[in-house]
Amino acid sequence: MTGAKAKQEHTCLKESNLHKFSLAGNYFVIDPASGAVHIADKQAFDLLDKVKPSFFERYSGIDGGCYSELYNLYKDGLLFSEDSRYNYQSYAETAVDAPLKALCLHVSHDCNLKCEYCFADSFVNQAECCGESSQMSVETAKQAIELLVRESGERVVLEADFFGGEPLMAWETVTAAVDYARANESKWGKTFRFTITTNGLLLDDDKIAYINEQMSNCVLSLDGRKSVNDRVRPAHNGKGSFDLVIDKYKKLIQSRTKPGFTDCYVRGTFTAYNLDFSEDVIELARLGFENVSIEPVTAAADDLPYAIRREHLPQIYKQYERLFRLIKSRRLKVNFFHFNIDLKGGPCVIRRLRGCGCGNEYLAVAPSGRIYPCHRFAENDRWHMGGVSIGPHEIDIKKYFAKTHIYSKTDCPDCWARFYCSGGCNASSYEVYSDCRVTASDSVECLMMKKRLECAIALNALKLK
Amino acid sequence: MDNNTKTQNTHIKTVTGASLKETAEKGGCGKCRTSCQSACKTSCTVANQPCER
Repeated sequence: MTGAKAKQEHTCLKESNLHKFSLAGNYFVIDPASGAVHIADKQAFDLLDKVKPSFFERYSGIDGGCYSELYNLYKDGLLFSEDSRYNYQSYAETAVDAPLKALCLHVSHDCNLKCEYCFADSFVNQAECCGESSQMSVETAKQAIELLVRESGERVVLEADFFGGEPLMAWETVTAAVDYARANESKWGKTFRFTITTNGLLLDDDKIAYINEQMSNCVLSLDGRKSVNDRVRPAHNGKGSFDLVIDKYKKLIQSRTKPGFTDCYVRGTFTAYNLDFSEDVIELARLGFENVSIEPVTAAADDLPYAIRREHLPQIYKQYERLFRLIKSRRLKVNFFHFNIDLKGGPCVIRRLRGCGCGNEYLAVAPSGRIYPCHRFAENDRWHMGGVSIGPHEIDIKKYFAKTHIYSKTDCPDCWARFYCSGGCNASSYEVYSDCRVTASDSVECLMMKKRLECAIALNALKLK
Repeated sequence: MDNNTKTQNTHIKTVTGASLKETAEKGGCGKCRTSCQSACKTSCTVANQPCER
């Protein structure tokens, strides 16, 4: 028997039913199907490369030994579990279209910034060319709220987020929609949660007060260091936006004290221009922002100068690891959004089968009132689902997304991260593969996701240790 | 088992047991928040959402 063949026969590390990784001198073992997370020593960590379930069926080992500990975990269903053991797939197979619970309202397809990487540049600041208003009317916004209520079935808590473009450019529409919903929520038997995502340019004292009174979540866009931000987030005059928003953001956050309305993230994007993005997280923390999210850029093509490419991954991994070490040691006191994970709770497995629920539980509405599965599909005729006054009438699209889950995607069933990322972004799959159900677990997007997850799991596992 | 494993084992310690499989029977109420996996919005992993039941 050749060495290679022997290795093949004695190694059973199938990624779908066991994942192990080391980080900062610690050894972590994940049993994806059961949700179990273990911290191992080097001996147990290495032994997992050599054992497989059939061994445990034949031999229990010597009490107290390393193998015996693994054997006991296997027998308790905490190692090498299979999804079939828990019959998770039956929940996916019986999935049906669900009531609506969230709407993304594109109240404005105008924007007062010209960000180099804008994912929506096909329609932002373009809509007027098509002879349509780029701003949602008050009437359309109210119809969107009615749509959400009408399609929500027995769900009580409903979500609406104001997105764009820049939503503050349609402020009258935002406040009219919120006021309309608040005035009627008792009558409708619903409770609304509002979120707004803004670039901050048009914030003033009145808008800050309104947002802090009405929006249960607020996302403030800023990319970190002034030099980084201003390179990719210029205003229409070409000048950077950092100085125009920084004091407004601080003021908004300082006055955001209403119970239940304190969620607020400063959200940035990293690109190929700032592969040292841990510095941007550090800078945002230094500026006093406690809740920070820095996301990898979404690029329409790999050859765009700001696009994240495969060769960038080693540097990106180091950035996540650096953030892990800084946060773990409390040298960096920041709530980094991507490192939040609840290992002992979190959503149920049924929720984790389908991710965001776009096109089914979650829809987006363009300024015209046209409905799409989510903001990424906006103004794409292929995915036009109807209008706010009567829709969504494209039931086939809704059913399609109801059946789009980790077991109907190509690579997800065999990926260890399936119950953490829930199959990733359907729109990203469509953009890259022209098919929402095609995923590639070795894609740059998935690899970054898995690295973030490893750091998040490690950070929280060490807290529980 | 979880606690015993945690205290008795010397080579591998379980920090969280079968947290996921325990949710299967009582889950699916749909009360949790919507998450967005797209990087242009939040690139949220579902796992960092709270259960609201």
